[in-house]
Amino acid sequence: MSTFELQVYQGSGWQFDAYFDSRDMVISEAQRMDSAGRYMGVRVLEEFFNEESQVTSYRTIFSRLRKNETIGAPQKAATKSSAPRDTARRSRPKSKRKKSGGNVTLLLFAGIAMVVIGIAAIILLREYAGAY
Amino acid sequence: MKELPDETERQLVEDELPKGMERRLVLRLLSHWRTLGGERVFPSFAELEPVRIPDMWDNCLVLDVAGYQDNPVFRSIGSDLMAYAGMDLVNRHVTDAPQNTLVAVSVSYAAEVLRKGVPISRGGEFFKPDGVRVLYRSILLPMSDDGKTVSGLLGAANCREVTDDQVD
Repeated sequence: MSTFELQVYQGSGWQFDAYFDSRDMVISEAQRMDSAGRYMGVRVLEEFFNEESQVTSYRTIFSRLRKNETIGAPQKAATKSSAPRDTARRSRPKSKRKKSGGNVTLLLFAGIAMVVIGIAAIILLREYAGAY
Repeated sequence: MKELPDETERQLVEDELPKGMERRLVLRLLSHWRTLGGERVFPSFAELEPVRIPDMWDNCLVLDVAGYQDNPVFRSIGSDLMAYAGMDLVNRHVTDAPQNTLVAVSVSYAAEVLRKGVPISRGGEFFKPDGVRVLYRSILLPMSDDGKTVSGLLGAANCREVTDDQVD
């Protein structure tokens, strides 16, 4: 059985805000708090206890952080599971910039090619017309 | 025509609440608690006005923990909750609440709230003495009169009885 920790991020780091045993409820509350904009960040950690191994695990199921905010790492066990996701989110803008640069080059070549083809067509037509 | 009491009651609740308003009692009370608290960690009982939450107060309760940390005392119980208790629990301890009642299950995790100092919401089921299965949802919220020490808990709970024809 899982429990859900609702955490908020303020100046000093992530802090516990509330506990729920309903995923729907905690997500609703997290979304509402994020919309309200009172905190710099809101996240939900799902905590599940494995009866066989007697190990408690955490995973982030919701996370919103205001842009340009750096994160402290007081909850190392929890952030380990979320680090790849956060990293992935930060790297997406870089790949988007590369893609747009490539598009401009492609358009430039296409434009030059069309001009060259157009000039060639005009020359050919003149020669063809001249023959008649 | 087949009687559908639960659906009818749900429709009435939707009509009573303004459009777009959160319908779940637990989340509405949590929102109110946050509004009362403002920038503080805990709101104060002095600011709690039942007239401002008429749609919730009948399902609310107040526990006094100052001096009763191990066995809080009921200081207020809403009429809907009291009906499920079957007895007047005001000024009685949590351990006096009859087992397998909405009141008892909704305060069963009070110690955890005091230990963690944050709101906790729990749901589940219990069986009434007559064997009827009841699904419930509750929340307990820490309150403080000095802004630092939790002096009491504000709680709310509602439930739904599951009848035989609703079982899958």
